[in-house]
Amino acid sequence: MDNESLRNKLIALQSGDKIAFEDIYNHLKTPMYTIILRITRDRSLSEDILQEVFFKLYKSPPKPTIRKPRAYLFQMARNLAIDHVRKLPQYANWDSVENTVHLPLDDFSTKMDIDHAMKTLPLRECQIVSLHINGGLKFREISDMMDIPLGTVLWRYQKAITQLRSILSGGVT
Amino acid sequence: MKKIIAFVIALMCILSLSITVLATDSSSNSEFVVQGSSLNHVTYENIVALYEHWETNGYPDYVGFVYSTDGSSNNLTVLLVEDDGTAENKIRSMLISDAGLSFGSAKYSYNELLAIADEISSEYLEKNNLFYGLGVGWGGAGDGAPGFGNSGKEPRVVVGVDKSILTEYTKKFEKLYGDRVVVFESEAFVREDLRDVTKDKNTGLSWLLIPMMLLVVAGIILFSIRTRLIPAMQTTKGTIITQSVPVSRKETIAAIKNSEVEPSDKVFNSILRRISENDQ
Repeated sequence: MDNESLRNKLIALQSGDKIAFEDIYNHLKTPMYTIILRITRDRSLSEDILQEVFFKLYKSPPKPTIRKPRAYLFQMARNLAIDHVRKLPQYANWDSVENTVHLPLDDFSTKMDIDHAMKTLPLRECQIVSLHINGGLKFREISDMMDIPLGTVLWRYQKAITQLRSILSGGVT
Repeated sequence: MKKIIAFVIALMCILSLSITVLATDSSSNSEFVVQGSSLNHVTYENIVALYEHWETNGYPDYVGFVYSTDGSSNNLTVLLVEDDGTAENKIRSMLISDAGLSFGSAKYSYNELLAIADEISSEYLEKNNLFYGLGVGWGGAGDGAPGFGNSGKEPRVVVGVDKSILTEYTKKFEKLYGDRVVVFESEAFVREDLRDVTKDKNTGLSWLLIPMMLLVVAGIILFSIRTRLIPAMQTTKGTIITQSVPVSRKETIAAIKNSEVEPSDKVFNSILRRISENDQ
């Protein structure tokens, strides 16, 4: 579903069209849930957040004049996920959290699957990778959303993919 | 006879261009490798060997470009991004001999430019037939320098477009990517005069196409064998069953895409319940 079709669905949703709402949900649930999960690392919490995103969307859908509805909705999901995570005591300092990793990267000889590999990325890079690959957002949109320069986004993305490749290859690349 | 010779030359040019495009696309899609810090003890005979390694496996992010210093293949200049000497020392330490090696500076990482080229390829080149060419490298700044930047030796993403969209995309890319992208007026690969020759002589020379196409197909097969990489078998917990083998960039991205997780069905029902409670 591109931005134009999504916009049409949102217009229908503004008139209370529940089928349009279900279409949007079915289209976005998987990438959005994946991105939220990459931030929270908690399935149950991620489902609550996804629920909240769509409840908010139904209650007050964005105006049809919005230029990039897809990016808007992912931003909404990301913001809610970050808000929830920040409430957790171990995530009180978000800036440092974005640089932390969930798994140490000290053994290139250990083969990992992609879920493990993703956890070795700093959360900021994990979000960039997930927003681009799972969310289908452009680097420019991610740059706007995360308020960091485009070059930095591209740089971090390449670094992340390189790291993931190396891990998935067991360090042989 | 002259027309036949002209056609054969034109055909070979077109085919070689196709191969160039294929190679460019493939490299932009699949190979961005940085040697992991734990692997940096690997040494290379000289800068040429290291360059070949980078060309095959991808460049580290601190490299902006590599070019021949004097036109020979023995002396290479490596442009480094924002280097305080660390990257230079790192490269030197990877070489048994650093003869023929020179350094310069570049504003942007080669990987970053490749990523932009990748984005332009998927967002514009593949969708707009007025985009004729795309590459990362030197394109000539028009002032006699081969490349770009202060030294005139830096690379940029060079985009060739039709005259009719030149101004539009020059402005657009400037806004999106700054001076990382340079847009030039270009022409389509196949010109009208070549098309006419092809049309006249196509049937009589079709036999020539067969070995050439076979060569191209063989090239594609060889290329795909070189880059086709088999992920190591492993358990769901990540335990290795077979030996590690390189995983390509494409496979990595596919793995991320395939790792998407679906929420449980109860989520949508909960949303509907909340909506109906809210409506009451």
